[in-house]
Parts: sequence; structure tokens; C-alpha cells
Amino acid sequence: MAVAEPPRTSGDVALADLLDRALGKGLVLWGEAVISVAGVDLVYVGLKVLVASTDTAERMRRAGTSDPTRSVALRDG
Amino acid sequence: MLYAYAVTDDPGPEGGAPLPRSGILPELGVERIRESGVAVIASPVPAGLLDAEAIAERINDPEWARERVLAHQAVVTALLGTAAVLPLKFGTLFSGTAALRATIETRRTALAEALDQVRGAREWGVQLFVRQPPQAAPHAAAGRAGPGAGAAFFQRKREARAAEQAAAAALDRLAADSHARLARRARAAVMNRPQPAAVHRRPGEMVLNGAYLVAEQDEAAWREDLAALEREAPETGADYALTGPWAPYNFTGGALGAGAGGGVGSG
Repeated sequence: MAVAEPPRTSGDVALADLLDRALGKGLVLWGEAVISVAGVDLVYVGLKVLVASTDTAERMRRAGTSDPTRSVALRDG
Repeated sequence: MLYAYAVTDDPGPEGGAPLPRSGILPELGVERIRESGVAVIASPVPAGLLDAEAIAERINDPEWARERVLAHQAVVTALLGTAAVLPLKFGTLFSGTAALRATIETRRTALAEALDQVRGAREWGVQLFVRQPPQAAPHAAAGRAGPGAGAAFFQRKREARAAEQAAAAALDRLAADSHARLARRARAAVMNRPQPAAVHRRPGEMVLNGAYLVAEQDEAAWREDLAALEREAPETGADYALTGPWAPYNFTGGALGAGAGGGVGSG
């Protein structure tokens, strides 16, 4: 399928939207048993806490705007 | 361990579009694991790379975390258009192939249904911004001769409160009406919690943060619906922002995961 015309937003807004989606949404596959067995829940829980913090999200965005090429790459998503 | 990015259609033993070369970490390859009629796109993760200690060391490095989110997204994006794709929540790790296969096997029916739901459609985001400083109440009552200054003061307070409530109600109606019109041609639609100003960093207030799963054959008509809303914007003072196409993060079938909980920064 063809990629549609680029969105009409800045990279910053797209990054916030990506964080909303990739961390707040998306398919959750594991059950409780998997979490306890795998012992890797820190990855998810830890990063969830990380990005839930407005301050951290702000720092992530600042890191994001320091290199404009990355915002461009993000927009392609 | 296995880091999983997405569940897709099973292309069969021979098929499948080429996968990205690198995954959640630059040194990790990406592979397709076929199980129970679907395929999982995942990276084998050597011990020590993404375990609890490694994460604890990097967790306070926003640049590192951000790069991982972008890497996850890059893999998911590369899959779009090659098959129906259900993007997994960022940070999905399995202890190994056996745990992954068992998880897929127990959810195969729901996964097949969720893939059917998104097949041939794409997710778009529409955010509605309103530049409307909360208007102070009209002070028309100020000069009016009345029963007394005290009564006039309280009258003005009541009017101010009523005006604020009316403005808020109008914004709610505008958001609900916009969402309804965008949802009309969508296969599915969700209204997420609007982002706070510190996150969206645009002028005005975000009053709608919607996601719409639109079949490809309906995209042109759906875009026209959005354009119609935008043409009305000068009257309503509204500014619509379109993002996408996204992997259908908002439409992966919420009932699938036993641990599916509330979102971060969205509702």
C-alpha cells in the first residue's frame, strides 16, 4: 500500500503522539503468569513510570529536538 | 529473552516481506516466529542486554529510552503495508520462545479476530485545538443601578460562572461533534484524553485527541470529512491536526491481554 502524504504536524507533536501510542496503547500480550515467570516486568513498568513523568517526557522531547533528522524519521512513522 | 514488536499475518513458510536489519538495540536482529496461524516479529536478546540490571542502569537516561521507543516504532512501521499488523505495547519481553509461543497459542482466536479488524485499514490521529482564552464574564452589570453594590458583585460572579460553563459546554459539543463526524466513516474510533499543553506545546487547548481506523478504500471520503470540518473552523475557532498513518496501536483488541491496563498519557 502506498504511504500517504506526510502528516501536517511537527516532529515534536508526532513524538508525543508516538509515546501515547507505543507506551499507552498497543497490544498487551502477557498475562500475570508470564510477567512473574519472565521476570522482565521492570522493562515495561520501569519505562511506563519513566514516561509517565512529565519532566522525563519533557527531557525526552528536548533530546528529540536536538537532532532534526530524527524528527523527520519519526514523522515517516 | 525475546523482545516482541508486533503480531502479523502468517506469510507462510516461504513468504514474508524482508524484515528490518536491526531492532530495539542496533546490534539485535529481527526475526519472524510463526505460531498458531499468526507471526510474531521479535528480536532475540542475549542475556544481560535488557535484563533488570541493564534497564535499571539506563532507566534515567531519556535519550536512551527515547531511542528504544523509536527503534520499536521503526520495526513496526517497516511492517505496515506488508501484512495486517497488531503493534505490541513498547517493552514487551518474553523469557524465551517457549513462553512466547504459549502466549500466542492461548490467544490465537482473539489474535486472528484482531488482525481481521485492522486488515486493509490504517490508523489516523486527529487532534482539535481551540485558541480561546477563557473569557472573563461580561461586566455589563457593573454600571447598572441596583439593589446594592454587594448584590451586583454577586450577580457578576454568577454571570461569570455561567459564561465559563457555557464556553466549556460549547467546547465539549464541538469535540463530540467533530469526533462523531470523523467516526462515521471509520471502521473504529476512540477518543483519548487530550494532551496537556506541556506535552502538545501548541497554541490553544487540545479538546479532542481522537484515533480513527479507516479502511483504505474509505480514506479519501474520510479525509473529505476532515476537510469539511476544517472549512467550518473559521467559525468555530478550531484547528484540526492530522497525524498518521500509524500502526493501529489504538485498535489492537483491548480484551486480548490479561494485563491490559490504563494507558500512559492517554485514556
